[in-house]
Amino acid sequence: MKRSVCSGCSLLCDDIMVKSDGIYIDEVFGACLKGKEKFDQVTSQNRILSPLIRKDDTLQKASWDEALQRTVDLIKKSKKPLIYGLSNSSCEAQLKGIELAKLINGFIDSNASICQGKVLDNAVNSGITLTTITEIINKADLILLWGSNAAESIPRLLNKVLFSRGKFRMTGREIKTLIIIDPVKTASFNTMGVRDVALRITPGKDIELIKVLKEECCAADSIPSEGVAGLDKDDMKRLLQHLSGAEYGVIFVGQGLLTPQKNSNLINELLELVQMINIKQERGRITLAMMGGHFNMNGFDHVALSMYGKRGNLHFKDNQILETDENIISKIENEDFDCSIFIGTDPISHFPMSLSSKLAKKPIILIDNRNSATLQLASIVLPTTITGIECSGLAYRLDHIPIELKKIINPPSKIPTDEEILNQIIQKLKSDGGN
Amino acid sequence: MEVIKTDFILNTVRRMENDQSKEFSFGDKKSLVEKLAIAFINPKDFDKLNLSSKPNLKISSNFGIIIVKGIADEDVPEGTVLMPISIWSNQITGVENSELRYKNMRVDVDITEEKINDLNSLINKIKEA
Amino acid sequence: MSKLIVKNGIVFDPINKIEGEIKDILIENGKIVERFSNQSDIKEINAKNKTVIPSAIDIHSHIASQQTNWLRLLGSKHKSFQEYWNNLSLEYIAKAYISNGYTFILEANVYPSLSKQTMFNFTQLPVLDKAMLLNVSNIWALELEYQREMVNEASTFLSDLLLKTKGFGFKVYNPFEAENWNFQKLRNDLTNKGRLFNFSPIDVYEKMTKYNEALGLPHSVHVHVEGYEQSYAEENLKLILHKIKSLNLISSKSNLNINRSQIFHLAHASSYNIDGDNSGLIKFYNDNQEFDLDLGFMGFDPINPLITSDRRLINSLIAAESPFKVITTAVESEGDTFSTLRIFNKQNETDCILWANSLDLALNIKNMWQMQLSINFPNYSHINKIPEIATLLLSSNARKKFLENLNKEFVRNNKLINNNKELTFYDFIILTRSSPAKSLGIGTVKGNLGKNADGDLNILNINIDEIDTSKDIEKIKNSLKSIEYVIKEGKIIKKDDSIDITPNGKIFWSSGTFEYEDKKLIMNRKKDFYQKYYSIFYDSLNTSIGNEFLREFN
Ligand code: SF4
Repeated sequence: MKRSVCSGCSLLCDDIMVKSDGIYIDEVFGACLKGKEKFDQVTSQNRILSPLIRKDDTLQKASWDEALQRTVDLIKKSKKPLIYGLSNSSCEAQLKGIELAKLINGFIDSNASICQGKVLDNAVNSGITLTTITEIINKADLILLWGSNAAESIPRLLNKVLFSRGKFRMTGREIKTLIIIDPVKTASFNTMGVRDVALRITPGKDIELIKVLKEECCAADSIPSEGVAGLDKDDMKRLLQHLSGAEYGVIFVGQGLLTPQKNSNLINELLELVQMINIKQERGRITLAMMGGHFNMNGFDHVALSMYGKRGNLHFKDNQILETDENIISKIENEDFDCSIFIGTDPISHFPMSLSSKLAKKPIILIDNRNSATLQLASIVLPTTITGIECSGLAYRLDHIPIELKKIINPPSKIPTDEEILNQIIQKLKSDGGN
Repeated sequence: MEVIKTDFILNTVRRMENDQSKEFSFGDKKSLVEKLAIAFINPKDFDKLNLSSKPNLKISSNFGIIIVKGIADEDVPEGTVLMPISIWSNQITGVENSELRYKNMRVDVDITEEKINDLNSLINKIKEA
Repeated sequence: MSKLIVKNGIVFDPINKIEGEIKDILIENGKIVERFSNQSDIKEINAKNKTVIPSAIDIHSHIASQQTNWLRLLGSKHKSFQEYWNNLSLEYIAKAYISNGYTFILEANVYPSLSKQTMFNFTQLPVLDKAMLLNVSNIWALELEYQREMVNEASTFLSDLLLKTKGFGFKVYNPFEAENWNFQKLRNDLTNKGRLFNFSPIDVYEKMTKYNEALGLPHSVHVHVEGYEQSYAEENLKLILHKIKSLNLISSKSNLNINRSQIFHLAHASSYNIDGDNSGLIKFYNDNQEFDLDLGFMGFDPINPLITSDRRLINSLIAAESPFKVITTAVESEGDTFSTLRIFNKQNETDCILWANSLDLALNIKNMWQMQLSINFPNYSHINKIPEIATLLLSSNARKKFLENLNKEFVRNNKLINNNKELTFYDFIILTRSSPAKSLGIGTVKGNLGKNADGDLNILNINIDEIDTSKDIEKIKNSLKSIEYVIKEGKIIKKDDSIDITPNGKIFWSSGTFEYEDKKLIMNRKKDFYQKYYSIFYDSLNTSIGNEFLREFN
């Protein structure tokens, strides 16, 4: 039995025990349901084990040589390739993805840009106070889930930060207050105790709440008597008391806060609120943590920043990085691409119909390990290993702590890793004279 | 027959039980529909819409229309439709100012006897659009 | 294998006491040799009338850490940052350092929990050899040790930590300041115990110095004094220096002639005497040879990134009118970090004083080997300012000229103007090459053109014997600005304007020479601590970085 890291979500738990002979995984202990499913993917019935090429409108098995050649041919023909995904890949693969984008003068981005990357983009304009899990374990007395259903998206998060005992929180759960702000009564509400605060906000009204809280920071008693955003005055008061009285508070920013509301920038307002509290607060601090879903959503940002000083949206021309205001959405929307390469992601399941239909008009190269809606539309499918089980690599946890994933077993059918596939494409392009 | 049409707020979310990536890994065409071509509404709305009289929900937004199965769920606030993020919910989400809109959108909800779209029909729709 | 001969150059090699001798340098398989194993395939560079010096070494920089990424993120919205710092990309940093003759660089502040990020960055930082210092001044796993000394326990743990993370040594920085969780709280005395811990910050400085020497690490403890750029630092500096002196330690590496003689390294020594009076510090250093420091030169760049953990400094910066935004992180109960941007101004008196402090120290501390030239990159200066800084050291004329553009009040009060002392070219080579190598304990292979050293050198297109370094300012500056050759381990990395970034550098690391019989017992206790209070197991700190990147140094 060996200790291993779970890549089921961005918590990257390193306390998973795996029984394996190096060929099969016999048992997995300690992982949550989501984590267990990740391990089950190794043998899932919908796993892709051979390269596929679309012929006569159906995907047919092909050899690696043929599939790679077709891939390279498509890329060579392309003048404006898009590369997207990589949030389920290791940093080593992300590095290769960027190298490929540079070589083929493409546009590359990861899933982070439509998710938690937005928080970092806003941090540039308003600053941010971040924290990490060990900090929360040892110090937090206030945990606020805002628009995030931790119990389902990062299943063991609350185990680790709420139900644990920390160095300065020896009484554990007793001394930690949980506040949830969400319009839907999610599974996370089930973890609440009597002293916790459940705030069922009116959908789309978070912005109003934040604005009032900001005002309240400057002038006490600015809460209207009828309450705000579906929350009554007393609840608002309790929320405020917790925010301004916590010794160490953490706000987990979830998906629910990532879409703009009423033409204002929700994240920006939230970041400003936290700054205001931290200047006014006399006891402790309020911090933020983000809840990216994919296990290495933060990795791409760090790799891209180190290599090119940009968090995402890397656009290459003449093998140089270009300043751009484009993002993956605008690129697809404006049909400013002629071929797309997706790595470990299923945009057809994530993106609205209006974008999917545009993607479908151009060849799609998919590098992934399982069936997906995108696969149904792909021209070429290159199967890959499951990172964190069949290959090792670096990943960044949701709080930006780097964690090494370990290889537990060999992949089936000698399937290459994301990194290897991307490298093979790069080498082939180079030896073919590039484009 | 009287047509009841109601304004709703659409919220799309990821749920462990209704997760497209899980279904694509382990499920089949049938389970995909069962787990993803669904929308949760508050039981009161369920009654108001008289959903038991007709099997399905027709949800329409500025961006499109989709037919899915309606399920009563008291954890969903009144006036809200909750859908798992998937190719089904994508039919009614969209893009505004180069940002994805998939939460807190106004939609119309109606009951219908029309059939739920299967995966193939949606894929074809994407291809042909 | 590869052989290179650099012929007839005017060689400056202070470690071997060679000052301007005409001499051939032979490099075979990356190492300097006295004669080649055979005479075939020898590449030759004619260095007649040119000056040959060891490659430069940066003893204090911030180039490969998570915080550097936060700087890049903040900078991505500032044109001046992007243009002047080229987004601070790893490749750009490497090229900039190589252009200025550097082949070794020390990342001076890495939290153990973030060390994998630094390692990953290191593998992407081409050509340069590098090493990182772990910041352990807020490590709760050493709580008892900081309280009771327990040299064996602490050293065992620290040695293992270096082994796991592949660190090179230790940085001490505002010990346990982060444990005042409220950012507004500032402490006023390093000798007071903390709210949550039963020892004082000064204990950490003291204990870490002891542990470091017990470990026998190549470098001494590397210290940042709390209160950076604030008057609060002056007292702290005195307090710490005298405390360490009173320990009467001798360097565990003083037995070898090229190894370090100091037990304590003071980082960017320019930043603590904000009143411009360095006389106490200078006297202390002239009297106590077991201390050294780096100079922290300021370059007055259009904009400077800032990575710090110094709360007082950051509070004073954000109190300014329209401050730059700050990214604050709290790293795994190992300390807080602040990343931001700032602008130093030649018209600002305090900035001028900080600038002058470096020169004041360089000109008045007598033993060149007690000092290293640094710029606290990128906090104080771009590496491209090195040629200009060189002229300020070598020429009082250059200094006077520079002073003309500085704040008038400052110029009136500062005594630099009357100091006509000038360093020699040999001194400059000590400050930038030999002394950093010695201080880091890597003098046997770096900053050294003697037998068995790494074949790392620069060839300057200048005949040093024929010029007056105090007068021919432009000539000196140009020769350093456009170094003709930079050679690393016998490979030509730079020739005129072309730089080859294909070779990889090595990561230097050390776990010291400390052995203790009860290692297992101690480590089990530490592992328990991690299991209880950390988000990861202690063993998860282990880096699996490939051996091809590593170079162990003890
Ligand atoms: S919480 Fe995430 S990382 Fe941890 S076991 Fe569950 S899926 Fe895996």
